[in-house]
Amino acid sequence: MKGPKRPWTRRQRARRWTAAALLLLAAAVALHWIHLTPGQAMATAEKTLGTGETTVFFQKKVGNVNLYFSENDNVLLVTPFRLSLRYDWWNNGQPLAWADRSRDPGGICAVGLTFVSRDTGQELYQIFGLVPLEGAASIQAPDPRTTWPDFSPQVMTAPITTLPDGRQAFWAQYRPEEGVDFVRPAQLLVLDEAGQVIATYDMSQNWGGDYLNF
Amino acid sequence: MPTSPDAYLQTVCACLRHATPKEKAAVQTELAAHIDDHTSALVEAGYNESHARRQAVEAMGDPQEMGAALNREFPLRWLVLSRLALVLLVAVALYLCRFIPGPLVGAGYNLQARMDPAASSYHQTHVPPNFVPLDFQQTLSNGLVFSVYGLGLGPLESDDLHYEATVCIVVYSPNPFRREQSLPAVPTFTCSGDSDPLSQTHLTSTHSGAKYYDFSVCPEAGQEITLHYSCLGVVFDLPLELPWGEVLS
Repeated sequence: MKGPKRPWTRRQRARRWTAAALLLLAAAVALHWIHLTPGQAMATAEKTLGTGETTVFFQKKVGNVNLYFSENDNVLLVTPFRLSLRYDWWNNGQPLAWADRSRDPGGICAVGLTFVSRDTGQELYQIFGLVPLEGAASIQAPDPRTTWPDFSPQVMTAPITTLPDGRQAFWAQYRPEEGVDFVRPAQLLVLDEAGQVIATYDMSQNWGGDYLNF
Repeated sequence: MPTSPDAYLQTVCACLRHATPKEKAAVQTELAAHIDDHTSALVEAGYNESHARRQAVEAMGDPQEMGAALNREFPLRWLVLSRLALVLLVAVALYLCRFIPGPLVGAGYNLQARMDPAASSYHQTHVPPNFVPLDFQQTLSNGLVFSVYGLGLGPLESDDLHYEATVCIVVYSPNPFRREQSLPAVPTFTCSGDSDPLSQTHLTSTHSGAKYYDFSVCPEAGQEITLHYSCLGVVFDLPLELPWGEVLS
């Protein structure tokens, strides 16, 4: 005859409940509900867009967020990653910004990022791009209202530098002062040493943004 | 030394400093069962019951020693750890519960988007004039289905000379429980004989499970429009026949 069921010992309880919690967490990670590493966040961002696997080639921290820049022949992808309950860390895995490269995998590509401070409401505009172009020395990204009469729009500028992997890239940043009106650029101008425009790039669809502290 | 089982058990349990009431009750039950078994055996051997019970209690040994030995079986650190583990389990379970309602509710919208998007509550509140149902589906790079289920055409309210064409699109996943349903990129529209994209506006739904889009462009009378989509290697054009006959008659 089967005897009365013995209650779990404390050690059994501690181990089984911890195992159950870890199993739940593992299931949530497997289902892409939560992301505990940058790799998981990027995998979900790739799946969300259907880009195929990308490779990280650049990383930068803005405010409290790490931005991972990854690429393949189809896309230049920016994925944020942060482990902070206050800043909705469950949103890891959403692509922040991306540029479609499927029509010109080896060409110019750029992504724009708009951040708004949660605390002060101040805006921060950033543009990152790859410029595989001989003779390119700098870029300009003007506020698109350049044709307005009696209006001198702000222009984001940055020199072209070389990444550790040898490619030419740029990082432009603009933080409008309070009361300054700025519209995010839609077109990128690539200039040579003499300041002549040698290429243009439409980046109107390549913007993304988020709220954070910086 | 106590001779009654109850007094013996109480003395033992008083020594269990870190046992919970439930654990003390379990110890008490187990020891009482042990005393009862021994008593029964002694009664069967010819002892009278009160004597047998006293003998059984005495055979258990010193209750203080028994209590001290049992107390070592209930270490405080495992009690704390088991409590923390329970808190962790409950916290994880509660946190994950937030992910369950969305996909469950969204699955209904998703199935409706596949079978009859024009019957959706979103479309019913945004039906364009002279609505013509269409049936075009295209799978996008991320596996979502891009479905053009209808279009409408009517004069612009603010301008009698121009017309507004509204193209009704729904995007859904083949997996009804998938959360993300947004278009990776919006389509563009051109008029027949013109390569420049038309200026467009669009409305979207906030449903989970399927996302509805109403794209509006303003062609001139009699012009046909073409939808263009190009994103992450998925490229297609869809000529759209507008119901000019009904609008211009």
